[in-house]
Order: sequence, then structure tokens, then C-alpha cells
Amino acid sequence: MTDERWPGEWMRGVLSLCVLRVVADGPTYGYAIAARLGEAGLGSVKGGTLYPILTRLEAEGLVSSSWEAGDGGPGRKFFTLTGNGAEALRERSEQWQVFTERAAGLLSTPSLPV
Amino acid sequence: MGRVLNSTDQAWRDDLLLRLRLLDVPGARIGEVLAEVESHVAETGERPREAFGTPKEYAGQVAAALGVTPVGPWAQVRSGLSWRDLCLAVVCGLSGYAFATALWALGAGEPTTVGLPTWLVALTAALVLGGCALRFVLQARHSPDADPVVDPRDGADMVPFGGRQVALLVGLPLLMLVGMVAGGLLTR
Repeated sequence: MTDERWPGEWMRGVLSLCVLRVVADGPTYGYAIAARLGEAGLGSVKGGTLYPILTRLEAEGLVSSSWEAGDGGPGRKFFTLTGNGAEALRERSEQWQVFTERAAGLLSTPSLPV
Repeated sequence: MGRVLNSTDQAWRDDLLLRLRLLDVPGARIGEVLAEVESHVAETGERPREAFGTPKEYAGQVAAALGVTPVGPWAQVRSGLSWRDLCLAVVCGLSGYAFATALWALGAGEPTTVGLPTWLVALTAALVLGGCALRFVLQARHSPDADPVVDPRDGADMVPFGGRQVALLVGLPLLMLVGMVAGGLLTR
């Protein structure tokens, strides 16, 4: 499966956790986060979806941000994982693991003949 | 600061700014949002509209992400209005009318207006009008609830009160007053 378009409700459920995971790799900015999510096979994430997620993560204290000047460009906003963010990432990743295993377990059960 | 927005994008940005204001998003946060959009479209080469959707949708998403619940527009108007402002507006209107009438009379060469010397009416009205204008300007500049949209990158006001706005605010009334004198002169 290449260039996937996953159901919107799945993306809404997991995107914020995935963004947190990308930011955990070191300070990074919006466009690079979107590119990393694309590389991971999550499809193309638009700015209109990504920045409100980052805003929410920042409001929750899970990431912090700072602006850095670009070469003649409008600059980049870098996001960094906070201590609380690292904690939340660990907890939610574990939960997500269990959740997806259970869902996959159910989905792979052969259906009863009608 | 690189200006990367063309006029359509500028209109999109202005619309977003207005809608965020209407949703009661704090000025500093609006500055962040505008800078994010500018930075993102410069990086991707997308138009703001294709990357962020319509200003209305995006403003709604930002407000939801911040958990901001807007006060209704009527509540906002009511809380922002005081009796003093209303009185000031009435005085401003009346003195404007008196000034215009007196200027017309001056142009037409009439020595009296509403039973008083025309020059006295014009002078008094001009002074009152000037005082009201000064009060409005000072109030707008030093209002405690002014919540400027600040650029997070350099601390600049992103919605500056520029030369064009000043020219329009001063020039338009001035033009009308000159028109009154000219109108009066034509009746001679």
C-alpha cells in the first residue's frame, strides 16, 4: 500500500500520538514533521490538521516551541518534547500497542459461517 | 522578514485574522497562528487555502484546539460599550454637524449661523471635534483591553496602524469639510 489515505477517524485517533513520537526524535518544525509522517506511511498530513494538533500538545504542556530565523525566509517554529511529553508518549504508546493488538486479534478471528 | 503572500493569500490571512478575533483567540496566539501559516506555505510552496482550508474552518479548528469558547457578538458589543463612549459619539456627531454647517455658512459669506456669529460656531465646533478625536485616538492607543496581534518572531505588531489608515481617517473628514466650504462658496 503506497500513498495511503487512511480513514479520517483513525487518523484523528492516532495522529497526535504520532506527532509526539516524531518530536521525541529532537527539536523539529511543522513541515519536517509532516514529511516524517508521510515517510512513515501515514499519508500526507495538511498544515490545517497538523498545527492545531501541535497547538493542543503545547497547551497540554507536552511540547514546547521556539522560533528560529530562516535564511531570508519567514523562520521556523521548532517543537521540543517536554518531560511531561516524554511520560505521556511512553504511556500512550504502550496503551496503543495493547489496543491495536486486541483490535487485530478480534479482526483476525474467522467469521462464523452464515 | 520575507513576505511570501500574494494578494489572494493576503486576503486569506486577513480573513483568518478577523475570524480568530471573532472567536476571542488571544492576540499573541493569533500572531503564532499567522506566523505558522506564513512559515509553512513558504516551506511547502502551497497556497494557504490548500494547506489550511478556508479561514472559517481553520479558525474554528484553532479555537477548538485552544479550548476557547467565544462570547456571542452581542454580549461583546454590550460589554465593550459604556455610557461615556455613547455620549462622546453624540457630542462628536453634533459638533461635526455644527462645524460643517458653519463652514458652509463661511463659504456662502453668511455672518451668522443659528443666531450666533459664524466664526464663533466654527471655532467652537472645531475645538470640540478636535478634542473628541484626540480622546478617541488616546483611548484606542492606551486601552487596557487592547490585545495586539504580536509577531512571535520579532515582537512586531502584525496589524500596524499604518500611514494609509491614518491618511484615510484624517483625509476623508478633511475632504468633506473642504467640500462644505466649496459648497458654500458656490451658492454665492
